[in-house]
Amino acid sequence: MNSISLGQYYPAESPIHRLDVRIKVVVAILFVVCTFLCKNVLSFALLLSLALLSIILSRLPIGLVARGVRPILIIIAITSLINIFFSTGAPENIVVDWWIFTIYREGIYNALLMIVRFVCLIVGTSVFLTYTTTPIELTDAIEDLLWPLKKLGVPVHDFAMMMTIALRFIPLLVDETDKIMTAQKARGADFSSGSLAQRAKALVPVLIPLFVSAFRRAEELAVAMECRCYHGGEGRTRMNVRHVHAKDFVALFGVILFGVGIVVLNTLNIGYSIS
Amino acid sequence: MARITLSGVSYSYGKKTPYEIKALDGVNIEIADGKITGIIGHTGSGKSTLVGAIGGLIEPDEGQVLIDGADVWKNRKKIREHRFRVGLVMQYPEYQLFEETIRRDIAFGPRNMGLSDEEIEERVVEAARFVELPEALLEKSPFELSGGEKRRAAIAGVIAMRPDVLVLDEPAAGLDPRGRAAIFRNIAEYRRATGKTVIIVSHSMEDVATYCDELVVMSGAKVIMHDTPNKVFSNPEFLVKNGLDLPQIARLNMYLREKGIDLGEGIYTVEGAFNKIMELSSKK
Ligand SMILES: Nc1ncnc2c1ncn2[C@@H]1O[C@H](COP(=O)(O)OP(=O)(O)OP(=O)(O)O)[C@@H](O)[C@H]1O
Ligand SMILES: [Mg+2]
Repeated sequence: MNSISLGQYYPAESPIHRLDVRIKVVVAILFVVCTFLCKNVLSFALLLSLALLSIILSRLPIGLVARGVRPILIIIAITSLINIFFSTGAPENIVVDWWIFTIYREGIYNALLMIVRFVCLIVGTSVFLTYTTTPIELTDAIEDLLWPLKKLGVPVHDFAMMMTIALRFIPLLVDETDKIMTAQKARGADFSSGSLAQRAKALVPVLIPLFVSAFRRAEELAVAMECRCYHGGEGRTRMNVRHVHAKDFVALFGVILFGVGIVVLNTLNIGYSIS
Repeated sequence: MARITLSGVSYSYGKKTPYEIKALDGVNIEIADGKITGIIGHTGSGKSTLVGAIGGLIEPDEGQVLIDGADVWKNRKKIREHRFRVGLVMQYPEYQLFEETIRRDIAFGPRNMGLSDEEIEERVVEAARFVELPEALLEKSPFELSGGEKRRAAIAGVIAMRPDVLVLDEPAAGLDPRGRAAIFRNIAEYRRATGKTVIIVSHSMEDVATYCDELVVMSGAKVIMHDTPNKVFSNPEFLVKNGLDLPQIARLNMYLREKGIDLGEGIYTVEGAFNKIMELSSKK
């Protein structure tokens, strides 16, 4: 495990991987807004094609993106059921009328469009953020995007630095835990059997060395940062200054254009539209 | 006595992720019983993974690890017994110390074996003697010791289990030359006194040349050579091609040969070269 495998970053060479991270954050936010703007079948179709296009552009395996939807399958199922059973519509559109259940065609349409909305929501955020951006790039980008707060005296830089260090340390600590557990197993430690109390006790030989090493690392890092005259955000410049390139503007305008397209399609009175 | 055999052992890290790495690829070896076997290879060649598999800490994806002909993973509940028989000292073992005193830390392994207090005490004292830890240090906290002393304490913690096979992953890494020499001397003495099998991973060609009876050379997750140091070091091109150095004495030997002074084959330790040179010069 290394720093990159934290989160779900998927390394690949693609136009989306290369986008400026700040732009990617904005694009992801706009994309989410777009999913909520959609009202009728046409605009949903446009949304779906934008989602597909971004998957293709990102060169992510489709299976990976599909797996991202899995955690919210339950939510999707529940909302669909609620939509199907509790939407009411025109009396001539009743599909099933049995016992206490009355299902309208509108309910089914609503459920389907809801599913599309959820899936696009997940696809949009995962393609633009989780799978194509490392957590560290993300904190950097967020620091940049939050610059207005700096003017208000919020220590944005320090929060971002803490965040970065925490993210950097998680894989290290996971690695370390793994090593220490293996070392204690070699001396016969048993983590997987016995009562709950016994198992908790078996963790002592892991936790003590882990804490010791975490404190040691933190101290070393602090000293190393001080030795290099780190003094917080004031007047600090970046090693990799990010420049927004033409392609970033293309992406930004592309997604804005899609948003406009969705609004326009919403006004057309063609096909079914969510009330 | 214990005979360790690996047959067709493969292992990958990060399975089913984009970061999958094959660290062992169809490894077949038999470790010589009662001898010191050295494992050498460039960084990332899979040495630590190999000893992890031997020690029963890594379950192979394919193939088998056998001890006296029995598959160690056949009965998963019994894997702990295998770990007691094959004592593995990991790389930088000093980070695993956790008890209040060194004595209690060395006793951790034997206590997990469920031994009596007297037996444990006897083993702790014996193990501390093997690694030359003074009695006085046993009552100290691990955090009061120097790096080298901690390393010894950690090695003693495994020796105290009286394993049939002692496996050490770079036991001398990061120590000064005197510390290195002392550790290797202790290991050689341990082997002599107990007659047990020892496996050592090392980056130092000098050390393996001096102390090992057999060498396993790894490269790119495979075992590419398994022979006596004599044979291994007689093929310098092969070693260099696989990212390894020659012992300095072997290089000196090659240089002298070019200059017309032949010390003969199989000279790769300081002692060997010294004796040979004295012999040659007294003839003249
Ligand atoms: N926990 C792990 N997760 C993922 N990959 C790993 C892990 N441990 C080792 N590897 C990889 O497996 C390969 C073999 O590693 P191994 O530690 O066995 O090499 P080594 O020969 O012991 O190297 P060194 O001399 O640096 O100790 C390397 O490419 C390494 O990057
Ligand atoms: Mg190693």
